[in-house]
Amino acid sequence: MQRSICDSLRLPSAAVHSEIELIRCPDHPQITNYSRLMKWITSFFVSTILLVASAYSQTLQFWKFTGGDAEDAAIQGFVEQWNKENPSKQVQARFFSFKDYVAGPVLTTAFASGTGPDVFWISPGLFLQYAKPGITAELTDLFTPDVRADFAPAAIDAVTVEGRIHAVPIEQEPVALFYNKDLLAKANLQVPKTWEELLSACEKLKAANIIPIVIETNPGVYQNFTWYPFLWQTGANVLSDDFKKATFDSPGAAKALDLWRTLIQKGYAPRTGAPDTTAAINSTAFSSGQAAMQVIGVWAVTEMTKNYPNVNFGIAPLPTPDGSNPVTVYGGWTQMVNAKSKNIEAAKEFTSWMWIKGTERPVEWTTKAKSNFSPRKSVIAAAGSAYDEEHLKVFRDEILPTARSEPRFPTEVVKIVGDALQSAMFRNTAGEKAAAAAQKQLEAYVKKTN
Amino acid sequence: LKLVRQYVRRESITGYLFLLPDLLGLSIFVIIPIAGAFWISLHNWDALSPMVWTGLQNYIELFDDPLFWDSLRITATYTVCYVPLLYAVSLGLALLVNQRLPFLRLFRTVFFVPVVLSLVVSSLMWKYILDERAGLLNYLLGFVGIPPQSWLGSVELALPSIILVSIWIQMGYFMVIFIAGLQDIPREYYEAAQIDGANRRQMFWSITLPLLRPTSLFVVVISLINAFQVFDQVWVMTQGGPASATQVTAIYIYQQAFQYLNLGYGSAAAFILFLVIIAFSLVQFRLLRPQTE
Repeated sequence: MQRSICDSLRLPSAAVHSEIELIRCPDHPQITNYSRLMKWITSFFVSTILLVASAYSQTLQFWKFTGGDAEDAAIQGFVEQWNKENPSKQVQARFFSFKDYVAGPVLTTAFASGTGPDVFWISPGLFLQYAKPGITAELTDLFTPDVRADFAPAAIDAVTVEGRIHAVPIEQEPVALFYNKDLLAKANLQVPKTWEELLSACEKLKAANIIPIVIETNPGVYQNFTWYPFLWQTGANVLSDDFKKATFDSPGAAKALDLWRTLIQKGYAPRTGAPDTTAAINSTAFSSGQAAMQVIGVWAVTEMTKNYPNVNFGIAPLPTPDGSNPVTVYGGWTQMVNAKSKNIEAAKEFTSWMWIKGTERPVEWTTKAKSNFSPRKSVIAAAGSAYDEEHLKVFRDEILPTARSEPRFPTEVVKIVGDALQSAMFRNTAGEKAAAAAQKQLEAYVKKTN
Repeated sequence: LKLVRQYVRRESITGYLFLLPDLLGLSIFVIIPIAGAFWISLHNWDALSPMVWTGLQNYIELFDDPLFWDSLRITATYTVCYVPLLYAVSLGLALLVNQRLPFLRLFRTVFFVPVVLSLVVSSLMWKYILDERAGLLNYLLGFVGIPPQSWLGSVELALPSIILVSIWIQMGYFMVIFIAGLQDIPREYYEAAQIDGANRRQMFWSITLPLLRPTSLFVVVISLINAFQVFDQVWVMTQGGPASATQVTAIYIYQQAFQYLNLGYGSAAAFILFLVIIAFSLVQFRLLRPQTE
């Protein structure tokens, strides 16, 4: 073998021959050196890869998106505490960009190539895709009767498929109307309670050269999420409760589409609410004190009180068509365990330790790292005075009780609804027409999946 | 004779061995993934569950998919505006900086800076410049009395804005290519033309442009391929919005594959785009082939 390679490498011309000393053949000491070197390099690489691989397989991989310094530090703190207490079950946390994690290739490619993390966070929009046996581990046994009684029933329902619990709910983040008290007072306005009041307030604010309201303008899960309350307030919905029938061609859906259409087309809301997402309130006109209102969730309270003390803001339920029957949505992340994890038990134990056992970590997470609500009654009770803050109090007492969990629509449905909303807002398509077009696609989707 | 043949054979083996690293690299990073994408495109696959064989079903569905056709239409619009404009702008810059003027090196460098910047960085920068409320452009337009425009937030303006930004990003690169082409043109031709009394415009149309043919071929083919594959700028600036007005095919493919987890469907769309690009490139090679061959 070596002989033949050496033959084929030998060049005809003696002049060239002498130049390529390394592969000179007849008395091939160099060749032997060369192949020895190659062997050494190969074995070095193989052993490195094996070492790295074994280190990885022993350490549990825990993935989530980066949520800002306070949030990441809290998670990192939990992981370090766990690692100290469990030297044999080390966990390594990795943080990804929000956009890539929520609607990007991070989890997809990792799972497709069989290198998915042991423990990871999932949003309601992707929940159903991952909540399948063989993909994520069933966590039902973590929910003993006591635990079940502690969790809000709606939160448990949101992570259950055919009686199996596939994730641990971490938080509840309801959406409401943030309003700038000073700007409303300047325009001599009350907080709008009905859609009509909202639109007339917008008109007056616009005339006073104030940005009336910020709503999400980028298409995607978050835009739909903040629009669902308006849809539900009319009594309409996207699909029937069992996801077996499309119900989008209702007058209510048309009306809700028209509301957001008017907000954009009349210039009440900026056409680009934020460079990335209005979910980060620090990038919107509301936090800079230029906008009078914003539709956003409870997580923004901490950011506002900490970093924008000069903006005098209040919280109110979202306006409804006639001022009654308030309803809103709450979102929130859940934690899953990879069914193909090499150490499912440790991954489950870690997950349970983080969010189910004791109250200190959930309290820290929901009151210090973020401002939102634990789905556990005991945690809210343990947090005590943390929710007595002016804004959080409104959320706890008025808004959370009216909040429904974010629907776990599959991505196709999110896209269809999002297209209808975008078309109404930016192409000025009548709500009725946009809803009818979406209904057709939804029907096709339902037919395909049932 | 036998000896000669042996030498020739040995030499060709040597040649292939020298090619081997490149071939290996190409097949691992280009050919195998393309074949893999084609294989995936014949399946239904959500990346999580096992693949389900569907044959050409994905391709048949694509032909009935109005959103896919929309994306092709938007990509075509982008290409039709972008390629000629980029050609004109970069050739114009090359002609400008190819003269003997003070500070030429400085200008060349300045025009080339956008190429050195990462695509994402320059897209982000433009996103802020074009911002409706706080953007520099609207601020400047305010001085001449033009009301603020939502450059990236309106269905009509979003695509043109992205086209202009793309040209700004890439003009420097093609300018350099054109400069190289210009400097290859023998000076004697211009001198001869001058003696014959040709003016500058005549010289441009009769000497510069025809002799730039090979350079033009390169520029047009590469910028056309760029245009068909445009993704980064769009993704950073509009994510395909508002109301899908900037949803070019690459964005559509990305969304199908990674947001809706239809990897088979996305791969099929990618494959069609691949065929379209190849077809256009071949046609151009044919059209712009030097006549003196």
